[in-house]
Amino acid sequence: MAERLRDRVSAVWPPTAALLGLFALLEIAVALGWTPITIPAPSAVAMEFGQSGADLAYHIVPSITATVAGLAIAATLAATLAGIGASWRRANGPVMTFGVLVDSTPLIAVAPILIVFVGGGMTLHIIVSATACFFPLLIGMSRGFRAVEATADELFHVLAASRWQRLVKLALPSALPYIFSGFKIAAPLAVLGTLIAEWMGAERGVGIMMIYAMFSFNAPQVWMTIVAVCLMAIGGYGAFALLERAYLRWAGLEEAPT
Amino acid sequence: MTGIDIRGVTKRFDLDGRSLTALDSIDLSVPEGSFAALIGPSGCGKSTLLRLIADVFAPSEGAIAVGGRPPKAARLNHEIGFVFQAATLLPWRTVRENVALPIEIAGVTPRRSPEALIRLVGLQGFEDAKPAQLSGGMQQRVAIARALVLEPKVLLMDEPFGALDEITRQRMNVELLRIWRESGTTAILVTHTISEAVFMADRVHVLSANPGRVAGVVDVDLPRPRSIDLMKSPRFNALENSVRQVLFDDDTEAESTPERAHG
Amino acid sequence: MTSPVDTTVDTPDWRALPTRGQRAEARLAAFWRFISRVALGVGILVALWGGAIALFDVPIFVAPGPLDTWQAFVEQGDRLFGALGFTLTGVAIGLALAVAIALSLGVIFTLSAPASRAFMPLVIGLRTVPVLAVAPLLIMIFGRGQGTTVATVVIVGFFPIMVNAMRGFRSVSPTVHELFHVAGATWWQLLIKARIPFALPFFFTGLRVATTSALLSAMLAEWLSGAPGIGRLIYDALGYRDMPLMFAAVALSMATAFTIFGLATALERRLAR
Ligand SMILES: Nc1ncnc2c1ncn2[C@@H]1O[C@H](COP(=O)(O)OP(=O)(O)OP(=O)(O)O)[C@@H](O)[C@H]1O
Ligand SMILES: [Mg+2]
Repeated sequence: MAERLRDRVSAVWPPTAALLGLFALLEIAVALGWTPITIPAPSAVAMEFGQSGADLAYHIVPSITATVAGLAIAATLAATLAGIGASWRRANGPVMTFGVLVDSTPLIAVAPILIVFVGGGMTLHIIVSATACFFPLLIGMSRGFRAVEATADELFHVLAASRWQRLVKLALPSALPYIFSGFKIAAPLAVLGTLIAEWMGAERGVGIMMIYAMFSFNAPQVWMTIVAVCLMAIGGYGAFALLERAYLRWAGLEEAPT
Repeated sequence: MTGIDIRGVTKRFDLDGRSLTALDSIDLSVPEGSFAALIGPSGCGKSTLLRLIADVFAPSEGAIAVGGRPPKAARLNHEIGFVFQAATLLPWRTVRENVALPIEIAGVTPRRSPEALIRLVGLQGFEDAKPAQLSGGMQQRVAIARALVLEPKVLLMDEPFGALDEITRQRMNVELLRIWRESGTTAILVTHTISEAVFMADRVHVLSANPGRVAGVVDVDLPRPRSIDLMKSPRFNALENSVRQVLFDDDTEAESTPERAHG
Repeated sequence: MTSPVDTTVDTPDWRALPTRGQRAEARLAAFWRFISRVALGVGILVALWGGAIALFDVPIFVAPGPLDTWQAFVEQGDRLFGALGFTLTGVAIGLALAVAIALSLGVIFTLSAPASRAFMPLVIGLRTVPVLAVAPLLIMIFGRGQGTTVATVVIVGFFPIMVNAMRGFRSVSPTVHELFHVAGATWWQLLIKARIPFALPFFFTGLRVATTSALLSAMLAEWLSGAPGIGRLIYDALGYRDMPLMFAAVALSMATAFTIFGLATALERRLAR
């Protein structure tokens, strides 16, 4: 127990020290006037959080909403398509090709077409966010739906299990590790999708706050919004990582390869 | 009425458009309540034959009867217990939950509780353990308990102890015989080991490969209950030798007739 | 003559292995299957697009049909390809810089265990973060030219290349390590003869990931900064409602993205062996 703790500490302190060192260097460099105006001291960014915190909160709410909605829509679509691909083998190739096409489409290119049809509001943000995170979810779910071991499948056949029993007692528990790792990759991408969509136009959102800060050359505020976006992404990743850890520990399974 | 009757069964697989005959006109019967062993070289179709009996595949030709009815009826009636070569436990379920899986699926109340079965295979105290916490031999015992929990009329075992060391394996064999006698099911055991086949079975069916055929049958007239000491007796050795004879005679014969090779 | 016992052993037959020619043939067949599937997909998409425009009678200043778009493509080809060329130049320079920086840092980190312990967790942590978010900052630093595009591509490409290369340098198995140690190899020999060959497949994976996200990053940077690339062209066209030009630019950038994706994936498969 104590040893585990010591291992942890010895793994954590070098990066923490490196980070704090970098912060300190930056702070000194700024104090000595070595840096351009675009690189503020970490303390200035922290103070900005205090000053514009209310503003940030006002802007971050719709961003989170769009991200969560985008993730949910993408997950539903991915589950449907992966389900079709898994239960109908001939559909799998086209489903995957579709996924690759969506994944390699530059969002910035399709967004204007979407703007023409749905305008620049929340709908656009949700659609772009969903598009951005669709592919890893599709991959995770199709791998998951195939994750049932052949002999376990035979066991359920010999036991004369119904389709529903197979799904609930075998397919879902085997698929979950892959689905979780899909969500872990997808969550930061959904955040990025929302951000890009908000850059293109929004009344409220961290993206538009960042753009305003950029135009008014308010470097600490730009940095603050960047940090906020990163925290959103890390939060999403972390939430699914925690869920995954809890499930894997409960289920006695290994983490799915990515 | 749950003997197993296999009449003229042939099984062909399609492999990339080519047809592979895994089993060729197999005739074999296992009387009710008896213990049969299947032995033969790797790839001769032992597992395939068990899967045919369990209605995992249908035969290409011929017919199988389990208790006078087609295997599908027996399967849907939850009359078949199957032990795979790998334990195939669900890792997210405890020992008790794994053993109870067939009960949940069949939706019946069994005469014997999962706990009783766990005691029967000697794992009392491990009811709430997860499979990952058990040794290979213990996992295989859980698999046997799971196969027995619905008191199946037919117990099919595909090299259940293949992955175990010699000592554990012999201990498990003795236990398995005890469990089989208590349950009174018709049992078929697939094995690679001659001594195991002779020790366990009333009758040893020897298969030959390419394509799988019945090469011969050896009746084992050793008294029951059997103990490890029996393996030292001259009678046991004589029986082992007759099985060996059938196994290897057939091989030399197969070599002299190359047209029987894979097609 | 084989002894009877031999027949119980399954000897794998090396003649069953596919020959080079067969493998190349299979690859070619898979390639054509993929191409035809993509062609079919694009065909269906274009048909749906044309059908929808005709069916709902959409006016050209809202959205043009395939034919109007093609006309814009032919008429303003110079402008489109000029913009694309500008963008692709930025992508190429950015990727080259990203590779150079990531690999040098990778070698330094492999050399120095303390540096690796201190900085690798930060690099890996930053990989879960959408680094593209820093684009507005880069514009403030690098201004409204090619510089922002290049910087964005570098920053987006750096992380996947670096992390994968590190993983590759580490993938040398302990037994190979011991083999080199016993043979008295120098550190340099270990790097050239073991670490780099082992790392290559990982490196190509990283390069593929970086390449496929590079075009999107470059277009985004241009669009924000106003540099005269294809990303800007799309939004300029949207701005003065030249819808056929906008659709042509969108189609061109999507085709480029798919080609880059296909080439990078194929190259990874070829070279990772
Ligand atoms: N589902 C399947 N599809 C195609 N071929 C199969 C299938 N199952 C088995 N075979 C083939 O049938 C033959 C017999 O296989 P089987 O698994 O029954 O052998 P076995 O006697 O159990 O061998 P072992 O002792 O190694 O387990 C083999 O040649 C195998 O390749
Ligand atoms: Mg087998």
